[in-house]
Amino acid sequence: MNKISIDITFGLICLVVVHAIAIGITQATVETKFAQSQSHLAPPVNIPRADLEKTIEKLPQPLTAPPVNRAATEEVKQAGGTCINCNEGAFDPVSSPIGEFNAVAKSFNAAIVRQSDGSYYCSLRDPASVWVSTRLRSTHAFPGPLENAAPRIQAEMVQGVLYATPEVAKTPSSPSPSLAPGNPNRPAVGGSLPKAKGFDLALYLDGSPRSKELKRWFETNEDLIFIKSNCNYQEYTPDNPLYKTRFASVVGVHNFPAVVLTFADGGHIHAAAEGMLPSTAATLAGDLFYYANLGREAKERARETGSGVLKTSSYNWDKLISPQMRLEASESPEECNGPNCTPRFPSASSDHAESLLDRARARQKEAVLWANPGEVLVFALIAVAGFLLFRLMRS
Amino acid sequence: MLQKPIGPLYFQRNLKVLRRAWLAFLDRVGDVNSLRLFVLAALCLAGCIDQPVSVKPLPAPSPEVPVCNLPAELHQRNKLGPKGQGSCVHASTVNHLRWLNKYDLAARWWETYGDGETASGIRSKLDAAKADFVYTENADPTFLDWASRTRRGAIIWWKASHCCTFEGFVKDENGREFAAILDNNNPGRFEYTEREQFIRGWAGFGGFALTVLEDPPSPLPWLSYEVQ
Repeated sequence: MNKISIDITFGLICLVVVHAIAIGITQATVETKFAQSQSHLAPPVNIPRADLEKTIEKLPQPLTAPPVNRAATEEVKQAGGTCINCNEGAFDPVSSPIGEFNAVAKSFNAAIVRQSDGSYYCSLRDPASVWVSTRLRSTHAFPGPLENAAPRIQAEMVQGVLYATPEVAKTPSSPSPSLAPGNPNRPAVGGSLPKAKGFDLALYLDGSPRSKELKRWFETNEDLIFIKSNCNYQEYTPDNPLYKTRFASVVGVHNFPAVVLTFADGGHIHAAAEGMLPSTAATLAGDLFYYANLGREAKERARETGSGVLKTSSYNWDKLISPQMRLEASESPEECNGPNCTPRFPSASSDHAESLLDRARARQKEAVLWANPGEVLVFALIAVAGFLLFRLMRS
Repeated sequence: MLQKPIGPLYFQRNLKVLRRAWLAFLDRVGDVNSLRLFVLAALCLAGCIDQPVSVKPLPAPSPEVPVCNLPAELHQRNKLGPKGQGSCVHASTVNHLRWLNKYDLAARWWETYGDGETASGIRSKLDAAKADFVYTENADPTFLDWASRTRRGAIIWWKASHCCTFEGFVKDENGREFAAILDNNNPGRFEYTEREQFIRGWAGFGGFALTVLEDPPSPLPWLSYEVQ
C-alpha cells in the first residue's frame, strides 16, 4: 500500500512538473507567433522629426445647424393662447401609489438657474451649442399654481458639450443639494451626453418568490449591480404593454423569471430562465461575465474573419437559455473605436479602465486550477483508473 | 426459468477473468513499469490538448425601422384638453415615455395633463415628476443623432404649432437618411422626412427637442453566433 502511495505521489509530482513545463513551452511558442503576426501593427520607431512637426490642415467645417426660428421655440404648441395654470391637476408623483418614479437628486458643481421669466440661465461660452440637463427639485407638494410650481432650486446642473465653465456658473442660493444615488444615465459635468451603452440587460419577472429573489440579487450583489449599471436595463412583467407587444413571442410567460443579456443591437450573449437560473447571485454574475467575454470574443473573431454569415438568423429561446459556447479568452484586449468595434463597458471607477470584460479576464487569472470542468473530470477518471489498476495488479 | 443470480461472487469471478486477460495483455505489451510510464504520460498529457472551437458568426438582421419602434398599439393619439386645445406635447411625451418603458408614468401623465404646452412648460412638468432629461433649443442635429444612436428618441417641435415624437434616423438602401416621426394626430404609422429637409424644418419650427434620460427598451434579440 505504501508503495502504491509513493508511486502515485511520485506520479503526481512528475505530472505537475511536466505539465508546467509543457504549458510554459506552449505559451512561449504561441506568444512568439502572435507577436510576429502583429509586428506589422507596431508603430514605427524612427519617425522623422519633420513629419512630427507638420501641422494637419483642417478641412472646412460643414454647417451643422441651420438658423433657428426663436419665435417658435417657446410658443405654445397646438394652442392659440398662453397656457395658464398648466400645472393644475391631480398629478402627484410623490404620493401616488401607482408605480415608482425615478427620484434622483445629485449635486453638481456647474449650475443653471431658472430665471424669473421661466427661462434657464446657463453659463456657457457658446450657448448656441449647448444641451442642458436640468433637475429641479420642488420643495413643495405638487400640484400648485405655476408660480409656486417654479421650484426652489436644490440641485441643478449644466451639461454643455465641451463648453461647460463651472467657475463662472451661478450657484443656487437655496439650501445645499441633497445627495442620493444618481441616475447612471445622467451626464457628468464637463463631459458629454451619456454614451450609448453596448449591452442590454432585461429581467422578465412575475410575482413568484424566485422573481423577487432574482430582482433582489440585482439590488444587493456587487457584481450584478455593476453589470446592471453598465447596461441598458429594463424589467418586464407579464402585464407590461411593451412586453406584450414586443417580447411576448420571444420570452414566454412560462419562462419567467428570466435574464437576457444582449449586445445593444440585440445580439444574444446569455439567457437564463426559471429552471436554468443558478442558485446564487455570485454564480449568475459569473455566468454573465463569462458569456459577455465569450460574446465579445465571438464578435472580434467575426470581425477578423469577415462576416462569415452562413444562414439566416433566428432566435430560439428554448435553445438559448443554456448556451454551450466555449472559446479561448484573449489576453490582449485591443482598444477599438471604430464603428464595427465590439462594445465594452465603461469604467466602473474613474481611476482605471476596469470593464466588465476585464473583470471576466481577472476572474480567469485568479483561477486556482487552470483546467475546465471537463479536464478536471479527465484527471479524476485517470487517477481513479490508475489506482484501480495498481490495486488489481497487486492483488 | 430462473436466471442466474448476480452477486458479489459473480463479479469476483469475472474480475478474475479480467485480471487474467489483463496480465496476458501485459505480457504482450511489456512489464509493469512500462504500464506505469504509460499511465504517467497519459496523466501529463491530460488537459494539454485544448479542444478547438470555431465560432460561426451569424448575420445580423436588418435593424429595426425605425430605431425607436414603438408598437402601433401603444401609439397615443392627440386629444383636446379642458380648454379645447390640442395636447400634442403631452401625447408626444406619453409616446416617448412608453417607449422608455415608463408606462406607469406615461399613464398618469396622460391622465393629468392636456391642452397646449410650451418648451419651458414641459420641462417644468418633467422636473416636477422628477424625471431627468436633456434638451436642446438650437436645432442641433447631433442631439438627434445621439437620441437615435442611444435608441431613446425625443419629443420635438415639428410641424406648425405642433409637437411630434422623433423615433430615430433610418437609412434607405441608397444610403439616404430619413427622420422617422410619430405624429400623434396620425398614430399607427411613422412619417419619414429626408434628413436635411427635416433639420431645416425642425429649426424653422423652433428647434426644440427633449429626451428623458431613461434606459431604452431592450432590442429584439437575435442569434449572433453559434459553435460549429
